[in-house]
Amino acid sequence: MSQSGPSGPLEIGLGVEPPSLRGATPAPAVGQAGRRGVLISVISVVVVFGLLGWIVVNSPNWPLVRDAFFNAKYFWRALPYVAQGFVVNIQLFLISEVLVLICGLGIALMRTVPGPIFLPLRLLAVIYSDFFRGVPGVLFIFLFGFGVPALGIPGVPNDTFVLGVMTLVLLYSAYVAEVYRAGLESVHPSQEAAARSLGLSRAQALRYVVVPQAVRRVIPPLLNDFIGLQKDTALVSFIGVVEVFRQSQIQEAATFNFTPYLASAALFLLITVPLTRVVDVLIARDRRRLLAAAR
Amino acid sequence: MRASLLRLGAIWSIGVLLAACSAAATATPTPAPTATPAATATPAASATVAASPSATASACAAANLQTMTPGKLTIGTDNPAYPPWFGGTPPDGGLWQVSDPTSGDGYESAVAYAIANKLGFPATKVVWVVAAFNDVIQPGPKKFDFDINEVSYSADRAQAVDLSDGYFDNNQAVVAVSGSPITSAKSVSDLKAYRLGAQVGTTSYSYITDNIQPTTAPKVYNDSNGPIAALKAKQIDGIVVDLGTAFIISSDGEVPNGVIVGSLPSVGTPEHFSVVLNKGSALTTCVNQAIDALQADGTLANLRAQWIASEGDAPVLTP
Repeated sequence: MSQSGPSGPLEIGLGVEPPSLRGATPAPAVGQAGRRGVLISVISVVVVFGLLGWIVVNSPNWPLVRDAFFNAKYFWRALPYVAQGFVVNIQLFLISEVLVLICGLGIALMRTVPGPIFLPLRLLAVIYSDFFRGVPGVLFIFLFGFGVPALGIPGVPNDTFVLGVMTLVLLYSAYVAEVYRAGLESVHPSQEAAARSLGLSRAQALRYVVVPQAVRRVIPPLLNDFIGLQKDTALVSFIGVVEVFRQSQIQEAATFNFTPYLASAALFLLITVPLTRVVDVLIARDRRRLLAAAR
Repeated sequence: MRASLLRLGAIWSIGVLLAACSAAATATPTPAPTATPAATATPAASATVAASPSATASACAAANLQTMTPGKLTIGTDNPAYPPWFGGTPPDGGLWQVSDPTSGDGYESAVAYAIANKLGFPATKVVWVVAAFNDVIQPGPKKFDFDINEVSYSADRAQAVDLSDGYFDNNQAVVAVSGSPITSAKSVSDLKAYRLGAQVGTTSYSYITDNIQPTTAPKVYNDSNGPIAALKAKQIDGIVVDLGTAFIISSDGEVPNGVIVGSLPSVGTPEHFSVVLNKGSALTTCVNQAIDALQADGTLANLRAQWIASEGDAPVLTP
């Protein structure tokens, strides 16, 4: 099914980019007006943020909130433990992400195999992604983490870390498969047709023509799911793995102060915010490249 | 987690609604409590006595107690409630699972009703609400007058909530699967080599990290079911849990082929269970008086003999 609209072959699609986009590239010189713009922006930011900060700090219950959530003493006390827990999360999401990217692509390709005889394959892919996207992740953590190993079937792993990775991969492959599929469908059918006419097999056409274009287009949503995966590593705590969330809970339980949770939130932000900025840069670079090609 | 919070919230609001409705239905002047000893002498004076902060017997009379729902005593515990702390069979489709706190069966249910009785609340005036362990020991307003849920006293916790005098002296114990290597442990240091699990925020968990200090970091779970599931899945070798609970989970099939490796020696001050109240609750002194009275007249010892079966059968691990 071809998508209508300006998504045809690369060269044609670019011709219809709205001209306003060109303004998005940096202006060649910062003039008088530009410098004043910067000044106004800075002042505006300082005033608004300063005002917000002033309101928060001067609200009657601020000392209460500060002691419960932003307590420096408890922050530094909890940080080594919480950071130790965060190492587990990093291992979890790095290993899972690699597997998710592979499995997700596999499922997406399964879903796009043409021909009536492959209908069961396509159905399987649809059922899989519907099922794993439609059921809460915490349910699967218990199901796979406790339920499956309790059967005692030989060969089934019972290490909680391995089971945690398995669950995350099963869950997130379903999401990522949908992202890939959107990417694959956005590549105009003429691309594959052209590749096939050059004598490439379907597999080769996918490998050298369709998949690279598809993946490049969906890198931002893929990274988005990667961020989601990073956060959901905390689910693994439910089956006993002491990772960052559980470690902050232990610290909180010892002191009844919520600052350890803030410490782990800070660690997550330390990773997710730069990643988000990387996505922005990637998108901007891609757009510049497209615009250059259009000229 | 989110689902259980939602459910708790729903259950709680239903409980509050029910309590409010029944309170409204019985909003006639509260009859003088009959079970209050020595407080009946001067009913007229009790109003003035109640104003004074010191807890005299009449200040602890039911009519003068500022409970959440006037005329009712709201008691919290976790759901499911487990033997031997709670007994009875919950009605099908009801709020409570496994055990029924309203039955008066089980050690803590019996103690709760005994305390209520000392405070002048007959069994019909006692309302039970569900309160998860993690919420109970946190600072902040509570949805019960007091909570009875195997909560051990600790100085940290006492800063966040009011903890009553002890109503049960407690030891920790290790539960494992019969025949597994850990069952040969004879001392606390023998346990170091094994994978242990406990519920988060419990004294059981603290016992592992403070006293056993195993070479493998302990596994930690949200609730008391987590360690049991993990033991069944062979993800841990042993559960550290209160001795009273250890007897039950090792014998009633919750842990198949379960066995108590041994009870753990207390380190420092012996551990005891306390009733939990709101920080600074007006009821605390009265509840303490009631517990002290139950201790003095032998009620607690009798209830312990009645509900905590086969105590003393477990081997004691050396330090």
